[in-house]
Amino acid sequence: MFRAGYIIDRRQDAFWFIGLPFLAIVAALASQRWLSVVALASCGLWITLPHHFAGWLRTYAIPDELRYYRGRLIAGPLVIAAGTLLGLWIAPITLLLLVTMWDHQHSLMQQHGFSRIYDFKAKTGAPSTPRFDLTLMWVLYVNLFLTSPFFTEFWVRELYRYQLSISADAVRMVHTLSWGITLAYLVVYAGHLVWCVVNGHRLNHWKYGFIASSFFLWYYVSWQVDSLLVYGIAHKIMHGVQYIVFVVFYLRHKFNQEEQAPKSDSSSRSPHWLQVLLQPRHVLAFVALSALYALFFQLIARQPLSEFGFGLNNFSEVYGTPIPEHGMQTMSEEASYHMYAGTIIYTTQLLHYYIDSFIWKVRDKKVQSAL
Amino acid sequence: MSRFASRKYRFLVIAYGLAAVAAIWEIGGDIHNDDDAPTPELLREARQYTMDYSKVLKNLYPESHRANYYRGVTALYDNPPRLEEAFEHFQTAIDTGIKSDEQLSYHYAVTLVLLDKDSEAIEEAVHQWRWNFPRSTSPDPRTYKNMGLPTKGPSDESNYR
Repeated sequence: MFRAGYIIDRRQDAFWFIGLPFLAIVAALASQRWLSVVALASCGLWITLPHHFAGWLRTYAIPDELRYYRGRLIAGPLVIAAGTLLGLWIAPITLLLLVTMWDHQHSLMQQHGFSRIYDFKAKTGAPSTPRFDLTLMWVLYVNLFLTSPFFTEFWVRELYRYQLSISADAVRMVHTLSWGITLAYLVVYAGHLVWCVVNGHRLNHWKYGFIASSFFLWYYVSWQVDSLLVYGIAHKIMHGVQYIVFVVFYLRHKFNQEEQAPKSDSSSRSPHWLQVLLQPRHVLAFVALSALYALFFQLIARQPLSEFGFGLNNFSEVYGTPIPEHGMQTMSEEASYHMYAGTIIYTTQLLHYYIDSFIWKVRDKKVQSAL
Repeated sequence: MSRFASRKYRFLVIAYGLAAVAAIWEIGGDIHNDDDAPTPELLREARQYTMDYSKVLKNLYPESHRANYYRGVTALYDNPPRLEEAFEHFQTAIDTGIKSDEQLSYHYAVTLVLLDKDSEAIEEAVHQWRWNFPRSTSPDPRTYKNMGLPTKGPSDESNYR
């Protein structure tokens, strides 16, 4: 009835794809308890940006992939950049809505993609299973979006923003309808599983564990916490980390296949530097390069430096008391930026003075030997 | 365009097609105003929408932090302001442990200042607001001492005036 298959292997899947959502919830709740709201942006900086970086590597750094998707990899950025500029100019609310809704679709499709891999690797499910799985994902996610307090507030507010009034009773009706459709589809889906077994198709229980843990995260944080901070951090950890792990695994596997394949056209082979970078023993170098990408992105986008440290390094707190009698406010963001700059400049200067105070002693035998 | 090519770009076309419909609605509906000084009519409309939305929310989730925030801000901007009542509602909302709501955090601190609560409580409320929202461009809540209610804050509170 069951046949196991893994995205990477049993141990790594148990950690990254089944266990991670639970750890992400714990991390998000801990952030809510001990960190500031800046931690949400910090997660975006240290997890979401590196996951974009992994995606760029998987596409633009591999000649073979670049050639295969060439049209979309060239036209896509042009269309999207132009659309973003136009959106910011004439329809900012729509742009925000597009980013938000596409993020939901994208997140859902990533989890669906992983569940497809489980069936692909284990050779489980019937030919119709992908459609049933995709519908399951959409039904569960749309139900989450329509019925959870966290998202209900969002979509009702957006309807009002678009001048489409909806009463509380109408919202309740939407909730009831959504739950009805969801429960009905769960029965249909269970029927599909039974049909699969009866017809000799095996099921990969790891896939169902993965789907359950992913939706547990989304439902738990949307129903039990109702906090943007908790939802955002938990979701970013699950989505970003799983993506990075998968890209690394995928590329390593691709490189291995290239090694074993007969010598082909060198222009279609993956760059040597990337193969070296993604070797298990260079994992720290890969993490460092991803962090460097995030660092450059943050500086180019001129985002606050406090986001580097999860809000723990907030210089505007230093001069936190205003003097209203003199019309003086607390330290501005720009002034706090100067504090950072001053810290870096003065620290490097003082460090230089300190190190030079002991490394150039001519009486030191070690120094003498190099003179 | 060949069928294969149209399949390749289908997703992009659908995403931006839907966005174009929403954009036409946004532009045609005057949902936002580029002028610094919106007309009284637009302000009245915005106030009405916010009031209606908050009523729906209070009805759906009466115990939520956001519902308590709306109750608090309604009391705060009543004429005359019902400061103690506003404080009670804001305190109930804050006690849920919510951090990510800047409007709540800010108005809670402002209310403490207006009520002339003890300085330790005010400092803590202002600290929490600044710690969580270091990029906020709103004036320090303590500057409202002896000045009355803020006319502009991090939120849609002007809709309640």
